[in-house]
Amino acid sequence: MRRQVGVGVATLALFAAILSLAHSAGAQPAAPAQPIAFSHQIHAGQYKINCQYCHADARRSEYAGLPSVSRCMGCHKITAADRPEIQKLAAFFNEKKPIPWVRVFKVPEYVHFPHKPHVRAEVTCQTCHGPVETMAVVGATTGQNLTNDLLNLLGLARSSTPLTMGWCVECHTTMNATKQTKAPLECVVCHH
Amino acid sequence: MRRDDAHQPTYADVNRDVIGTLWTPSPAYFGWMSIVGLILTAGILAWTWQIYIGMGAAGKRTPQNWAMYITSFVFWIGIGHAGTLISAILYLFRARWRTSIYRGAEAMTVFAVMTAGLFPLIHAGRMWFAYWLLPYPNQRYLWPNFRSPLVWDVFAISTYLTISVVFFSVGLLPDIAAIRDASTGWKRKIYGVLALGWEGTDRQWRHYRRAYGLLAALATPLVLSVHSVVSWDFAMALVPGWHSTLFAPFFVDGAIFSGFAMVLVLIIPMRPLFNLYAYITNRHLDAIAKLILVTSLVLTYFYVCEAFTAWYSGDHFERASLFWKATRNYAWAFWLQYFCNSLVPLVLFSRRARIHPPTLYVVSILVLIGMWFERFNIIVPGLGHDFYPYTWGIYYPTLTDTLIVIGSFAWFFILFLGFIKVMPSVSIVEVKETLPHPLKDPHH
Amino acid sequence: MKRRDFFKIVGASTAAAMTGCARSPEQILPLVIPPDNLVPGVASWFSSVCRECPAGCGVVARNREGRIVKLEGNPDHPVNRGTLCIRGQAGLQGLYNPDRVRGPLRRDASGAPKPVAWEEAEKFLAERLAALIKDKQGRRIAVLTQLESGSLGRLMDAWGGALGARRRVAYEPFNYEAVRAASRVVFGRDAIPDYAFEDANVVLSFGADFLETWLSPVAHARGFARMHALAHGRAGTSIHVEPRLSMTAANADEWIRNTPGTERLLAVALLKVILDEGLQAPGVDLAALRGAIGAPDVGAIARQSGVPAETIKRVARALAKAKPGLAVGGGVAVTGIDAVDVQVAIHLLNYATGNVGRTVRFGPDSAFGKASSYADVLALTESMRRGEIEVLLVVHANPVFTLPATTAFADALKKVPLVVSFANQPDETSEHAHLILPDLHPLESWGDFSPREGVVGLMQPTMAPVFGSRAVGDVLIAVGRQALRSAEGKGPLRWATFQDYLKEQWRGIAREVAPGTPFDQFWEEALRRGGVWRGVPTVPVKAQPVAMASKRTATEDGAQGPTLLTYPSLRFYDGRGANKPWLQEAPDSMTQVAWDSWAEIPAERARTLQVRQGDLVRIASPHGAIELPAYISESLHPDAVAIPIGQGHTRYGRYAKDRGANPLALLPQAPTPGGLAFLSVRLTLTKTGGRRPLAIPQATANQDERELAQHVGLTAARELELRGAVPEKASHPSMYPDLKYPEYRWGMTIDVDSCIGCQACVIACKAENNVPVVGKEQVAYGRDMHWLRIERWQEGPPHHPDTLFLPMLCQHCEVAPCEPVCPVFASYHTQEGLNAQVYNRCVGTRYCNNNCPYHVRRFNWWDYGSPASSSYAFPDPLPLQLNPDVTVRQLGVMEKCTMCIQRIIGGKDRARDEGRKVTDGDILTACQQTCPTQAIVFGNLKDPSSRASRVSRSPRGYHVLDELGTRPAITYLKKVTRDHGKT
Repeated sequence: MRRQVGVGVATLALFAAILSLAHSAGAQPAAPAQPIAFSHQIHAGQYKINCQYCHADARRSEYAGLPSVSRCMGCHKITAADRPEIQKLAAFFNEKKPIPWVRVFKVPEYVHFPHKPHVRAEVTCQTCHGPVETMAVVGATTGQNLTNDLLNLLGLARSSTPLTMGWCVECHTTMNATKQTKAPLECVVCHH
Repeated sequence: MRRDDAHQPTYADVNRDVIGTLWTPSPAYFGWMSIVGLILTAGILAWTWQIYIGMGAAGKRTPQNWAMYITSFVFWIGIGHAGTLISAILYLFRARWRTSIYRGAEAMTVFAVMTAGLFPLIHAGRMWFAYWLLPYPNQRYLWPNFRSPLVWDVFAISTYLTISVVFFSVGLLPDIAAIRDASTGWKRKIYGVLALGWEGTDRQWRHYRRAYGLLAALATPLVLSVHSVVSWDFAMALVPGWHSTLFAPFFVDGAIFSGFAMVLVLIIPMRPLFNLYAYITNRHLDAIAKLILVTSLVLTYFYVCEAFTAWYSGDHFERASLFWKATRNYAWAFWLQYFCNSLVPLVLFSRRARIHPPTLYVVSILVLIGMWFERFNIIVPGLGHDFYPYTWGIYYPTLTDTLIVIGSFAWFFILFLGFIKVMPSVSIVEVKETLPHPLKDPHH
Repeated sequence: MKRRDFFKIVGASTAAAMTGCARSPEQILPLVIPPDNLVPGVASWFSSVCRECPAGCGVVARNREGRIVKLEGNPDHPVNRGTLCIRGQAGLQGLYNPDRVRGPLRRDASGAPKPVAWEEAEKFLAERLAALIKDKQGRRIAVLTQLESGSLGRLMDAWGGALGARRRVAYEPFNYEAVRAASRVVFGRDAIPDYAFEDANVVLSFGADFLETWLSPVAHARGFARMHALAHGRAGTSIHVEPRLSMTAANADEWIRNTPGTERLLAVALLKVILDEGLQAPGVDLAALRGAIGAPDVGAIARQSGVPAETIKRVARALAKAKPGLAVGGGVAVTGIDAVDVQVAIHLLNYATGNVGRTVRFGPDSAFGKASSYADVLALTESMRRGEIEVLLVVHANPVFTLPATTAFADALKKVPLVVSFANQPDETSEHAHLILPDLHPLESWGDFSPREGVVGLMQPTMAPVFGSRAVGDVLIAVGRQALRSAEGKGPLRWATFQDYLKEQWRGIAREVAPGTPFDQFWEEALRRGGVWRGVPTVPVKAQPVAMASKRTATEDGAQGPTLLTYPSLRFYDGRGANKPWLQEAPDSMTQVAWDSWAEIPAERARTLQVRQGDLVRIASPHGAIELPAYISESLHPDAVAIPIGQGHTRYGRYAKDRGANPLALLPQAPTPGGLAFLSVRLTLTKTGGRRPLAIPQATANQDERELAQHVGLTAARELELRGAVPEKASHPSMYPDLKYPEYRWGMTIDVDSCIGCQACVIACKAENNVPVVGKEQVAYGRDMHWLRIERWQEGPPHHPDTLFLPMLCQHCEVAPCEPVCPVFASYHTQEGLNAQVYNRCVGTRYCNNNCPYHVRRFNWWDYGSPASSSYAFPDPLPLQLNPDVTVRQLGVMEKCTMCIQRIIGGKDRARDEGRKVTDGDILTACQQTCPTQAIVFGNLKDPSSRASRVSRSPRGYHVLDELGTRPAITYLKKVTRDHGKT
């Protein structure tokens, strides 16, 4: 009798562990604290400013690029200049200091992700970065994690987390199959 | 000295003698354990250092991208063959003389495979990613390359290890029960759990026999397959001296050869140490020595074939490679191999030598050395003089890889020494089977 | 310097991941105000001039995120036409050298250099100068520079003039003044002519290492390759006379090994044969020639020089009948006491065979003619010793290292109260400086350089300075004005900056070259193009009656023992390359020694001395002694001992430290009419008993019947070419279906006939692909990381071998042995025919490299890429050079040639922008791009009309180790050998 109880407890604990793993994998990502409380929701959502207005290098470079401080000030010299966050911005500009933004989306060093061909192929920014226009604070759970692999093993796999290799490959394969694109599937296109 | 043939032990003798090996280790045993433990610690430290600083710590280079680690890997896999051969094949052929040595040989098999299994890890430049060789669903959507002999190795060795361990454990069950019955206190509890409720009922024996037979049948082909697969690590490659259809039988034979030598190395000292003269008899030594002699002759035949094909092929690369091995920097290792593997075992033609433990012991040690160098000669000098003269070169071992290789012996022996103190190193049950039944014995 | 600081400096707007993946939050620093044309992630190119030697090749520098990551030749530049040599490729390691002087230093009373502020340092110097000027002691100021044939030289002259200083000494250790002196004697023209190798049919070189360092090696290599290549059934011939088998000699169709110092005799004998047999060109002044050479005895010369009389006759006939031929001579190694006479004889040879004006052109004279003579340098040294110099400014010259020790330049320096060095790398001379004012690196500077008449290369800052250096021109203007107490815009040094001065100079050039064009437009165009160049007409010259002082011998009279043959190193030139780890790690082409210096000792002598390779030998001359490890040579003339110049630095940074000895210590200081006589002493050798094994990655020069580097006779090659026959390629049956290449199949051809073994590609590859430098011990132990190596194979008699250079890199086999054995698909075949290696997938079983018959895969035995590792290969600021498009490999992974996959991706991306397919020229691999002889062609083999496809169908094509059935994507073209001199 005692033995059966033990087995039951162990099973329950295992189940709970799996549930909590599954939960943590799907949980809202922690967003890093940024030096200025910039809101994509206001800029991209409310005012519908085109992503590439600020991230202007995306169409011509590997990097999407961040707007220069002077570009921010182009609008904010007048717009909302009295708000405390904008005054922070103005302070950076006046001191000729770059704003130390904290990186949110990051792939490992051995991955070369170029924005340009994706913009050329008319992939929307949201495809990879999520509905940024709805986010006041941007955060993301990206990259590989063991949880997902374990869930995979147990047959509980959700689709891969964003910015993992499987997730990239999935999109490339789907696009090639459905839209006759020529998205490369060679390893060395990204890993070189 | 007790002479085995003189006295027929009884069931009680068996119980007493065998179980007697388990209790109260002698100071000498502790002494050996600490020496082996120290060497093992040095090996572990060396491996840690190698992981920390990089593979450069081991003396490998271009062109010897493989060296002593793979040599030792193949060597240990080879050692791991005799056990299964003795217990499974001889069991199926009902070779009765196997009973008193098969337990030791099986333990040797399991531990040798465990030792061998370490080497691919030690050898990998990024051992922390070695699990990528396993096929499991992952976020990268990648499988291992099933064309690669190294992936075959993963399957071959893990299968072999699994079957060996299961076979070994099943064989142990009745003996564990016997120890359980002979012990008291916490030991009794532990052996009780391990005995899995063995009561020795007829029904249990019936199932046990069937399972044991099946496992033996399962293990038998593995003896041939595992080392064949390991030999394909070489045979599937392009390197002169490697790319040969000879390799599979060549390796299997060498494995049995070295495996039996290792069996002798282990059981010869066990006899006086545990007073097992009654169970490990001269008949056993003689049989093993004969096997060593036969496998040595077969091996010599393969050596001749190898040299003959290299010469007769007319292939410049093969010829140059063989000539270089035989005459240049590594010639000593080359000729040492022939001496140990082809010449030394010839003394076993003499029956006196076959039952003379010191001679057997020396021959076995030389055979082990010879077999280690056989693998070394395939790998290091073989790579040292391959297709491309620009990169020809000489490999020098470093302290790190030497310590790791020596440490692997310590790892093997520490496992074995530990085993003989917790498990019966001679099968109680099967030895009893070979004895006359007590009911038929008027003295009992 | 940390990466973040750097980004602050250059202000790129996103952080390119350079090393590792840090766990701590990564910051992205956007620019405050973005520059106009800089897009992070997109390279911009700036043209400049390579200043690694005075050849003045044009370069373009690839700027990524504000830092230069690669140098390439400027395709428009007339000197190098887009290619660069090994030293040019390594120029970046001068820019990012970890030992660079980081700011001005002043030596305090204790002799230790202390950092000072620029203002303070300039003020200090200006006050000292002002005091001298006030006392009318301007003559006590001396300026010692390297050859500056552009505006900086003119500015320094103007500066010296304004302060009343001595005439500037433009010191070049190798200034070929014997050629100049001979031109004066023979043609009455004080100049070093331009040599048109490509127009010659026969090139006869007397020890001129024109493929290595002589005058303009990149231009010569291109000319030589064109001259020598088999095209339309015709191929030029090259004959080289030298006691040592130099790289140039190894490339010659006939190498004539003469007794050291007999070049003059041979040239005279050739003249004699030509005149006797009436082979001279029409209209030659016979009487003058006869008078010049006198009546030499060809038989006696043959005996003296060890060159058979038949050979002399044959060479004379070949040269005379070439129409035009070209005779060149006087590499540093054969510059003896009679150097001027050698050059006179060579000039006369050219004159007699009608080459002057055709292949020897006065007019576009070389800048070397403007260097000061050795005697001038000695005179300055003497003045210093006598205490006549109060202030000495040393600008990019290292005389303490490059002058013979017997000149005691270092001692003379000690007599100068204020030595100011403008060196931006610490060197032996700046060690003696009281004030070090580090100049900018040429890639950070404004400037110009004219390598020859008619060509002016323009330099511009290709990036912001790495450290707190200042341009020497700016400092001189500022200091000069302070000393003269004149305001900006007034006085003799009125310019605000050197840039202003430069622009003013270029206004003059603009008026001359493009009178109609507005200056701004001209300037922009010149910056973009990299300078201005125009054709300079050949000036007709006439031979004057000369008498050779023919009694003079090459070496010091009466001396015994083997002759010292010391020659400039292909990799280090006069020693200035020795602080660049790339150059140290590239093996010497002929000996394959890396990271060290050596004395090449003839085998016979070594046997007598009982010296083995790597044994330390004491080498003594009447003027000094050094110790070097022995390199045993079968081919070196038994009466010579050869030692390369360039190693033996004591204060030239970490990479040059403890690398052998400086052979210049063995030379006499006495000047000769031809300058410093490099070939003038005889040596005594003693075995010391010590050992210093050399790092030689090539195990053997013997191919052991493997036919890796193949050749075909000229006659056969001609026939094949005429027939256009494609050789019967062995077909290797396979059970697998043939591979399909949907779009492209990348491949390469390498012409073994064109490869001169210069190793430029090796360094280009290292620079492009972030290949780490591993050090001497690792190279010696077969753990070098070169993705591309130049193998030197020798055939024939050991004392007179035929040399074949074979560039070996990943062959990108169609049936690659490395691919099936990889357990994790880290090595796999792409759909474009590349054999790919995925570093981050590699677990490091190294099975692939065992199975690669070419052994071109490189394993990361140590952690070269991580700053925390003791093997870190990129000490600051070297990481700034890393190509952001290429991963820095981690510990324990295999790597190898990718055929510059990042360039392929880039090329395809550009083509896709334009909606077309990639064609020839869109993608150049780094090795192909820099190859001075264009031996390498990369392209799409799927397109039968691509250049790579066409060349790969050449009848000379073959695959290395073809019999293994690996089907490489690289086709080699057999070397075309001549029977010249073989009978």
